[in-house]
Amino acid sequence: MPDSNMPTAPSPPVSDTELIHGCLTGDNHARETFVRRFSRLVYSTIQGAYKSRDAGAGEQDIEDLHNTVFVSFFDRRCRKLRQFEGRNGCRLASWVRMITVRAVLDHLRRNKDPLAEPQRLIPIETTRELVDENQASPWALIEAGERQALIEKGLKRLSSRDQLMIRLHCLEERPLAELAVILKVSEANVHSVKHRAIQRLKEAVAQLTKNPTGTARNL
Amino acid sequence: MNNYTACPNDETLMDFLEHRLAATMREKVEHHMTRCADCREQVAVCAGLLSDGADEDMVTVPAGVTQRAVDAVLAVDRETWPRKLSQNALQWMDRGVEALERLTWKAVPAAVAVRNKTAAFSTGIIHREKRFDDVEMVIEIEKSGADHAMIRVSEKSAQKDMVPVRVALFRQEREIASAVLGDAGVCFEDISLGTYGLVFVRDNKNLGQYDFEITDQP
Repeated sequence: MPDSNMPTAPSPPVSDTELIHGCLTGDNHARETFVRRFSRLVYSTIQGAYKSRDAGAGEQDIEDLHNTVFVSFFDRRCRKLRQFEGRNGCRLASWVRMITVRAVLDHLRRNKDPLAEPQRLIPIETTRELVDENQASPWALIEAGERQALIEKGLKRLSSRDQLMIRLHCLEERPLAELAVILKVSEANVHSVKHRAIQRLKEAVAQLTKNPTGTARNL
Repeated sequence: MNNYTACPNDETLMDFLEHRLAATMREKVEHHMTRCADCREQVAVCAGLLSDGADEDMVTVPAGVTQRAVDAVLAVDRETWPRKLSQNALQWMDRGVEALERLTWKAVPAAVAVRNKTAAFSTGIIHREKRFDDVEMVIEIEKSGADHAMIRVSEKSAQKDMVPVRVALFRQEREIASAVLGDAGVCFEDISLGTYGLVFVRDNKNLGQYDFEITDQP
């Protein structure tokens, strides 16, 4: 049975500022309106964040987090809620969404279970092959380590924007659609942004191998 | 580039994601994100939700969830300081008296659960009744092997129309199992000897904890 998110008593819509003011002055009706207004947003954000991390969550887990997020706004004399300023035109809903994402990620980090990470799970029959492969090529491992260190050095010579592109997409395997939102480029254009960032990284690494002590100005 | 080591707050991260920051500030946040994996992940997950066009109107919140959140929020301020003080004092007294109960199989027979009406007793069972806030719990630890036990937890008199209690079993500060306490109680099986804690939570409120050590040495 779906939940009713409408306030029990009909009331005129209030602005974000009025709502926060009401909550901070201890108005229970404002607090109830706050929860009912953002309940669905918080719930869907928790579901989405779990999905994004490929983490499974039961209905009870989601509800626990849902309650935790709302209580955190009002706990310790509304300490969290007082932090909202809306100074650059940030909507209360956007802020609530960001806080919910942080709460989910903090929760997942605290309760990290190595078996819950599907990418770490490998079939038992392949473990022997992995061991053999590692034992057979120690040089490959050293080379891979050196290559990684070189890429890290090269990354530091790039602009923050290029670094973000490479770290998020190439190293952390976040989809390009997310990068398009973060870098404010169209999904069609994000491919060329990626290509240019990789090109600049290649140049930086090539420069490093020629002149390991060179500075970014040499590029 | 200025140093910007402290993590930006959530509003600044949202302003960054929704492109409302001035160029200098945006650059600072970008620079911070190249070095802070946590902020990078937070912004990326949020960007993913926006790029998916996540529409919360399409989500159905299960029955009662919103009302329970309203109740939890309205209860935040109800806990006045004398009440909190008295509760804390009681909790600390409990902990002082019984910081860690060392349990061992004694030769004292205790009743065991059986399917028929015949009363049965076992010497391999430990029976405890503990009160947490307004909930009375029955905890039974029964020997199920040379070095294994099963832990049964049930509510002595289940309160109707109340949010169920969630029981979590901790070993060395790590949660190894948890379950919602139903009418039949919960049972944690194949628990090896060691130090454990049972944590009781109702509606996000920690009711209390029972720490104990199971040992086969008297």
